Amino acid sequence: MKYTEKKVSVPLCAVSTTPGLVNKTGSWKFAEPLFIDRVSPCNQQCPAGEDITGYMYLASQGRFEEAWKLITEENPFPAIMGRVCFHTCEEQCNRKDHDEAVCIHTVERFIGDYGLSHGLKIDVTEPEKDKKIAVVGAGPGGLSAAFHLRKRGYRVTTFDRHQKPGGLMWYGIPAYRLPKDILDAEINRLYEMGIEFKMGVTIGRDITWDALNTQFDAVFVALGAYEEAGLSIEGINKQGIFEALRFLREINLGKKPKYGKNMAVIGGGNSAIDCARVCRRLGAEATIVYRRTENEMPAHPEEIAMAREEGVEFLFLATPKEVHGQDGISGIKLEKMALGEVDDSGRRRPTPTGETFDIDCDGMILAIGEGTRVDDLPPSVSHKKGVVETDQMGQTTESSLFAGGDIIDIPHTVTHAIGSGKRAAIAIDRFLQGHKAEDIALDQFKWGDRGNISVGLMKGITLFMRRNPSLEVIDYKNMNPFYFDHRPQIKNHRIPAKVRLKGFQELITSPSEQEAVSEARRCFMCGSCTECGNCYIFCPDSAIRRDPVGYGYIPDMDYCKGCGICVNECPRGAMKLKFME
Amino acid sequence: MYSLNQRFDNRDIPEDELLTSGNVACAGCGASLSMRLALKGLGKPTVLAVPACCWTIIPGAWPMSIMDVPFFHCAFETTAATISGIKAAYRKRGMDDICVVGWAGDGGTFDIGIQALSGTAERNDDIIYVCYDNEAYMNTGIQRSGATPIGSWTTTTPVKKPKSEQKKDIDAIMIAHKIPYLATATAAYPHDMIAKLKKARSIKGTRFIHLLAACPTGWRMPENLSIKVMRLAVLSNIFPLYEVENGETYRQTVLPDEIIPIDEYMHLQGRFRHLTSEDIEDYQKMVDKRFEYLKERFEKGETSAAK
Repeated sequence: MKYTEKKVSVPLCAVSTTPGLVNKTGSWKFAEPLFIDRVSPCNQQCPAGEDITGYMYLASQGRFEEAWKLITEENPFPAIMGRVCFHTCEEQCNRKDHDEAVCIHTVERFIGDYGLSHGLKIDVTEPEKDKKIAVVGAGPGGLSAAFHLRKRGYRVTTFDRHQKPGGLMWYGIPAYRLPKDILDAEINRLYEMGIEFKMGVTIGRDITWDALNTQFDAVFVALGAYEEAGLSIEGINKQGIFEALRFLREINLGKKPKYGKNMAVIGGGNSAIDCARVCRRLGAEATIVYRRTENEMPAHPEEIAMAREEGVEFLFLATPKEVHGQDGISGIKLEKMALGEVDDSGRRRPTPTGETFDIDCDGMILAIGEGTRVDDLPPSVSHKKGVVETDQMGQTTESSLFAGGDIIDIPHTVTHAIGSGKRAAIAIDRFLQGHKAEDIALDQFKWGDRGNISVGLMKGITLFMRRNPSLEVIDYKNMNPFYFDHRPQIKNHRIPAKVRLKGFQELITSPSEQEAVSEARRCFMCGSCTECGNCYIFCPDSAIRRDPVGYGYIPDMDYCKGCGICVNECPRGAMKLKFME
Repeated sequence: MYSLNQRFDNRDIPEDELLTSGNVACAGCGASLSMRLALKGLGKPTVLAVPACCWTIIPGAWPMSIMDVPFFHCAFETTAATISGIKAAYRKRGMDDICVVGWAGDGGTFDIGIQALSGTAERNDDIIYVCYDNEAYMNTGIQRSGATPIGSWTTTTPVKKPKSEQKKDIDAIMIAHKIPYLATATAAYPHDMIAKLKKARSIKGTRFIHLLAACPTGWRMPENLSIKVMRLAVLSNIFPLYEVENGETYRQTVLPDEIIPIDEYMHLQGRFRHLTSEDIEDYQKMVDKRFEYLKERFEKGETSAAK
């Protein structure tokens, strides 16, 4: 049969003629999805206020130069940070609830080393200002403040009573944790930025505080904690007994103090661990004597573990009572301790038992804590028990004088000092422009309620796009971890303990580029849109579209029915469902 | 789309849209998302035929339509016969490259359309038949169908007397027809689903795709949970994702990292809320037994593929 076309006047069937777009189904909704960037817990935790999520994102794409620039917005020393920071960020990492925390410090270290090996420089892009600022103390706090002020175009002069800038990074941290060439190379960038250094100058003695105040428009003080606590027991003045910082300083200067072959290190902090590990490298036996137990030790657990690997012995629940020996030390009488009630620090208090015993040793290092000396500061600066009183931003009771580092009420770490220097630089900038240093308006630039201020957020332009940033911190249970696979953390390459003891060679070797990228890819980038596209893929109404001008996606409110699937399926919690009134 | 550190590479998902916004499905509809993703896999030229089901109304009431591909409304029981006819007509006119797809709900497949479907499969007509299974007659008001799982609430199987019959094993029925390709898929695994539809398009003969499509309205759950519930159905082995070639070679395409208890899937849905913990234990045994049956075949499929 042949098919013949037949002209008909009515359609064979009803045919649609109108696009479905006339159905503005968006009018049905009672909730709307919003793209908001939340704060990752690592960013909130970082005492220096680094944008960890941001540089992980850049590093995961191999964009190391941009990652380096993002870190140096907040922190002048990425290569130092990756080595000496105790990375409390990793304790907060949301990935620890998934498999293992991201090894943030290793990636940061790689980025820092990349900056050094590629000779990356800091550009002072702000116009030069005629205001002059004095920074007293060239430790991490002072250098950080000098860096951030110089970046803002101020003329900065840094004073320090030591010969080398770096403070305890130079005189306290042993070279196996932070090689001196890395430290010098990172500080050298500050010279290149045009910061003036006046070394070997003690303020209060060589230059008076009054003279400083008249010559400079503002002063930042970070004197550090160099005063060592002593022990008042019988025989404490015998030869062969050192204070920890003096011991470490001499080692770091390449001098050889007259140490023994069998050293006792008193204390449970990081300086005690450093001293014991230095002794091992000098060929001596080392025993750490601590009055509480390992659980209460303030030292970082990783450091304790590495000290054990290197053959450091531990003697817990003991405190020295008397030093034996003729001229030099030959042994210590120790008293056994027991753990009692929980004290203010949240740890159990050691209580004496009255029982004593002796150990033999021919050297002793006291690492029982460092104090500050702030009596020489101008009388208008109020302080209590060696801690200078400041507001949140670091302004003291003398309005043109700001303080940071170990002399203010923050934990005594390099990273906290760097963070305090940054805060004070922001405050000084505001002060010199006639604003109040501390202001509620600054809260919006913080990484969450507990976080530090971010220069990146203040500038509003960051290398890592953040849209509608909010102060909310994202936790694991508000994310959708199904979309992340399980992969173990990268392990740092440590040189074998036997090789370590031969000298002061750096004990962790840098990761390869591939390892750094692979570890950066483990980062969830919590709270930030990475344009993964889940919201777009899972929208039943095709109502999520790529932002035609900017970054990421936008919901088309004409058609979005507010089901909230996109919010549920966002892997990183960068969306929120807002119920309408 | 970057998917830097994600399990799936979302760059694999085509960005072409063969339908527009403005569908009139309920918020969070699993079926409307299934169509959108399926068309990403099928591409053009494709012709759809749809019987009475939710998708009759989802594109909009006449004269509106959100579809960018021909979309033919047919009678309830005739989907498979209609697409067989459309395909024959295209072949006769030398337009054999057009992919003809039947898109029916579970009622139109498991119950009302099964005769036509069986006939088409027996003739091995060159069509794709997609059943989006939301496990009841949702469009007409949540009446039980042959696809409703045992123990489930629907408006015709109230809580006092929930459904007492097993879900019909449509996949086994279709496998028994020895069709060249059968696959189960769900929109919660879009990469898997799109890959299966692409593969189906590349094969000749009758191809059957069984999609699980969550229905927040009928399953009695918040609409934002659609994807999560479909994902949990896969992770709990209630709806394993696999494909079968020529009725013989089975292959599991998505292997969950960890099998979750079915309770996690069921407690999110109001339609199972009346079940006691003993009921759920029995249910778990049933699901395990059913998966054992499939697992034997997956293992056999792997060994025959290795040869």
